[in-house]
Amino acid sequence: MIKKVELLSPAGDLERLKIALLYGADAIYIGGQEYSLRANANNFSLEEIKEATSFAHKLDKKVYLTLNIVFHNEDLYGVYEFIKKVVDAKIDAFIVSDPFLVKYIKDNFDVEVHLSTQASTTNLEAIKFWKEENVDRVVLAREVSIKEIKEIIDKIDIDLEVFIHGAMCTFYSGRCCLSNYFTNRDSNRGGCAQICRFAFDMDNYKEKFTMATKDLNMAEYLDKLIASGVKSLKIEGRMRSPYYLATVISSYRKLIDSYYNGTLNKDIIMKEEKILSRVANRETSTHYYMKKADYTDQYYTGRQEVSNQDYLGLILDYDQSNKLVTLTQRNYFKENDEVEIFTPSGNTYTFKIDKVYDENMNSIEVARHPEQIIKLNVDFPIEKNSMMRIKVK
Amino acid sequence: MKLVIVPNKIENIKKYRKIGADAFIFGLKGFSSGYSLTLTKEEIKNVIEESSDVDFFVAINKNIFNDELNELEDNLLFLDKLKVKGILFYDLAVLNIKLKNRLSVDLVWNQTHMVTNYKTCNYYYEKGVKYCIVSNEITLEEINDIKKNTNMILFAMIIGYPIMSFSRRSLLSNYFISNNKKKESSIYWLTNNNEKYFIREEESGDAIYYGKILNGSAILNDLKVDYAILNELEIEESIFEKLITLCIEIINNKDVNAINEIEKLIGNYQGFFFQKTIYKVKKND
Repeated sequence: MIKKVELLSPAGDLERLKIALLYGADAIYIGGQEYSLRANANNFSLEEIKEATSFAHKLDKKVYLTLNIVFHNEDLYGVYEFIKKVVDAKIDAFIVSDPFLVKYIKDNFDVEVHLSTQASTTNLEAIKFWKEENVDRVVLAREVSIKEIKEIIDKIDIDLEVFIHGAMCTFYSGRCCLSNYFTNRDSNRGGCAQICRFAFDMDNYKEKFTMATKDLNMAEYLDKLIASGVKSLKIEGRMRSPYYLATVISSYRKLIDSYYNGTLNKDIIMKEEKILSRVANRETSTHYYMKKADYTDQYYTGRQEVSNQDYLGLILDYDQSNKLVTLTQRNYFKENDEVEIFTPSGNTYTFKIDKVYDENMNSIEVARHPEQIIKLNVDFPIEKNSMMRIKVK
Repeated sequence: MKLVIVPNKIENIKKYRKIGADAFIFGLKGFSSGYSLTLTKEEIKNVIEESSDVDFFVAINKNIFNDELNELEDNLLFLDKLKVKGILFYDLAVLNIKLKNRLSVDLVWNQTHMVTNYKTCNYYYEKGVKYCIVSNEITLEEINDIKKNTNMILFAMIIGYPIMSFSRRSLLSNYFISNNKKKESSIYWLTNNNEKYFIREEESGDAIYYGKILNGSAILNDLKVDYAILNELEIEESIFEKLITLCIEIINNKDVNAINEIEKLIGNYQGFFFQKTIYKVKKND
């Protein structure tokens, strides 16, 4: 049986981790409460790491821990103990950028080490170096093309992981300390303040200088990436919402499965791209994969994020006898709205809401309060953890 | 402590050597980023032959791609035969080619913002890397702590505009294309919240620099590194000449007046020498 490419999702906390796994991720990368590059994510305590690995392993899936800050002398104290505890918590791999840690982990533990994209690995010769160091997988820099990936895979036997979806850095990973100079927050120790999304005055020009990038979206070219031989496809965004993760993972799961069962076609890609576009808060491009990134891959008018209110509610329960679904509200909806529910197992159901009830079955017509418990009449059974959204047209 | 200069042009090498500079760093054409002076292999050969009494370091510090690997290897083999004191590298392809070919030329670990702890210094030292340039974003105490715990020979920049970020993207060109205007320079100054920065474009991408000149002259005698770097980029030649002379005064004679003179010329921005980056992930329970 052909081993499918891995779909790797981020998760900022246990809720997100479980959602991503249920919606089709094969593995999850998380941060501990130390040594990870996303200080603003909730991140995982040791107890939570144990729960995460236990949950994932029961599903025959994996959890990787990022340990990819650029270490200062003071960060060295305690890191060995931390690694030991995380190994004991049955982590499947560490994502590391610092070579001394790569060596330390490989010399002392029987656990995989993945080289972080923070190391900005862009060529075959550098990968040969890391292979000699017993690195199990290299997360390539986001500046390489599919052609270059294929050249590497043709010449060396090592697992490669690439980003396929989400926000992009303007600068090479590891080669940016803008936050240090603007905010005194250490970019390479989890303090990135996204200065690359600021607008600047430039000499005497009236147009602002900006360098903010569009997001990455490789749905259209996923077949080419899989065919190149990469082993893992990575989604960006440990701070993204459960709804975002469920939507993105679900779409890429369908695309990957379609690729392997021979049904991937333009219609499927277009449909999933439409769904992906509904959770996107920026425009997207393929950046370096198909050509060198150019002026079309950036913004020139400052911040471009748009908020998204498609996500209507998380399904908590389904009462088969009364044909009632219970959900917790996320965004405004009302009677007669056309909505759809998408499920962890990959199904999507479209229907029109007839009645909206509160927790005590009082008819309220409109669900306007976030986190409010709502009940709806739905004729068909719905899995727990399914999500309701505005119908994708 | 030796003074190593990053000159803006080839003519300045002799001039600064006469003033007392001990060593120079310049880029190799097509393989360096952030250097005003980049030379071809032949030019490097000539420079070294003309000045045998001075140390030369060559920067091969760009990110390398597959189609550049053959040329990179040729360049390293060529430089190995010259009396180059060391090659600055960012991409590990450089180290791997040195190891593979058992080259004798020494390497300088120059991963800009990543040279921040002694364990990693020791890792590279064991791989045969003799030197490193410590990051501009760590404190004097951290630098001296690295020195105490490694056998590597250390460089630190003490005067120059600090580089903040480097992109493969042609950000300046993109700006002018999108605004339908002509790019007339490779350097433009940027302002945000009354602070100045500048962006510099070259073939391998764009770099953004902090707009204040780092002035480490006051700590020269406390800084336990082996080479102090003075970078001429965007600094007026006549001022830069004075800065070299004054730094030599400080190193040789602990001249306090020279520190004051430097402050008058370039201000007193001390970067992160005394300022620890405060943002760090919270402690694990």
